[in-house]
Parts: sequence; C-alpha cells; structure tokens
Amino acid sequence: MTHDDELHDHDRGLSHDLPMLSRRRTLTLFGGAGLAAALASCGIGSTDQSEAADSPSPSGTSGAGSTGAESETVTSSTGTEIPEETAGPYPGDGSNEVNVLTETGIVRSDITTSFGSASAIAVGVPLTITLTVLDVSSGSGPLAGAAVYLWHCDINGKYSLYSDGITQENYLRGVQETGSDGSVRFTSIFPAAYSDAGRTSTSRYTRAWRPPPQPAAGFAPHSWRSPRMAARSCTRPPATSRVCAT
Amino acid sequence: MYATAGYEQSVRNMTQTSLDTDNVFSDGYSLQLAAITGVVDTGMAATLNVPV
Repeated sequence: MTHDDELHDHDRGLSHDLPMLSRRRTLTLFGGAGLAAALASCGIGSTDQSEAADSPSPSGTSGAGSTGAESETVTSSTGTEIPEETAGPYPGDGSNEVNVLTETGIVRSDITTSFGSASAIAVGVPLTITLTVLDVSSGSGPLAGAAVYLWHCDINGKYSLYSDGITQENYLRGVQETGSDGSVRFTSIFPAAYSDAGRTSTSRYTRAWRPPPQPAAGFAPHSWRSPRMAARSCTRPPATSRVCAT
Repeated sequence: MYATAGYEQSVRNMTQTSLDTDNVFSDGYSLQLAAITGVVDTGMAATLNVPV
C-alpha cells in the first residue's frame, strides 16, 4: 500500500520525532483515545441540553444557562489497557505527510494557539484536558516520563495542518511529558463533533509513549478497517505511527 | 454543550452517529470516555486515565 510506504519513510523513531524527549528513547505508543467522542456524548446526551440552548454564547454573561453544570462521570478501569485505535487521517506526526512533532514549540500545555510562523488561535468553550498515564504492567501505578501527544479538531471540526484554510496553522496539537503522578494537563477548547463516514466525534486522540525500561508494546495502526489491534512487542523503537507488528 | 454558539454543526453530526456504531470507538469506548465537569460559561474539564 502506498500508505505503508509512507509510513516506512517516516520510520525514524521517536528520537527523531520528539527531539526534546529523545534521550528517553521511548519505545511504545498508544493511539487514539476517543475522548472527544465521550465529551460530545456527554454534552448532547446530558440533561443539560435544554439549558444550554438558553445560553447560546460561549462567553455568556449569566442567566439560566450558566447554572446548569455539564457533568458526567465515566469511571475507567485502571487494570485494563485502554484500547488502541487508528490514529486517524490527521495525525500530524509524519505518518500522513506533515509532521509537527519535529517543530520547536510543540512541547506545550496551552494548545489553543499556533506556534512558529503560524498565528491562528482556536476559539471555543475553554476546556482543560487531564490525562493520567498508568502502567498496567506494574500495578497500574502512575507512569512518569511518558510523552503524550494530543490533538483534536477545532470548533468547526477542522484539523490544523490538514483542513482547508488552516493548513498553515498548528493549533490544538501539543506534547507533554507526564510528571511523577503520571499526568499531563492541556489547556484547550471543546472540540466539535464531526461527521465522517460513520464516525462519531473523534475529535481527540492521544498517544503516550512509555519510557524505558518498560517493555515495548503497542502501536497506532493506520487502517480504518482495523481500528483496534492488540498491543504487541516491538523489536525496535517505533516511529510515532508505524505498525510494528501484526 | 453543542447548543453553544459556534458549535451548531456539531448538533447535527451528533444525531447521526453513536459510539455503538462508530467504526473506531465501538470496540471499547467505555475505557476511553473522559469524565466531564464544568459549565460552558466558565469552561469545562475533561479527565481520563490512560492505562498502557
């Protein structure tokens, strides 16, 4: 496949993709948490829908709309590895044309802005995203030093680097390294739900690279027909989106 | 959430798909759903554990 060929071209490892984290020579990645699908589901499915309709402005002053809390809690098991998914068509990691991971400035917590020569800002309802990476192989304790790359679409369902009008922008993409508590926190905006060939609002993906000496496991398959693949060992450091085993 | 100004197209899109039929996330989204808190006026917060 042409796409596979492209992947091989970019198979240069994490040290290439993430220079600021290169010393860790991280070995694994996890692709595609459907956070936004969850976010969207919560927003629309909640009982707050009617109140939200009464407050149509994201910066609304006050009123009935501001009193309804959007609250939904879904408890995740900490003992089971999170399913891996396709990284989707807009990874920006070199596996599909552009690679933002080599750009100085990608390591950041506030992803609402564009950096480098880009300047556009993503608008929308403010959203902080906290991800806590846990190490299943060691009792699901916090995994410190893991690199997490997060990206999602904007308020219009468009992705920086790829979508018409914002191909030169790189907002809503960022990398952070987990602290001792295994967590990273991003400042962002609530992504749109988009509709694309049977997809829900897959507005957000994350990838976490496990630092050595953890065993390699996992990859982000680039096949829409195989969205989920079991974690398998990699014999060499994978690139950010190379399928290392089948 | 998607009744907020600027998110109009999301309302339509959300009605057309579901997590159960989504061709990526239908395989295990229960582990991929973030907990959401907050209000649209002041901002939302999403948290998720990512066991790897």
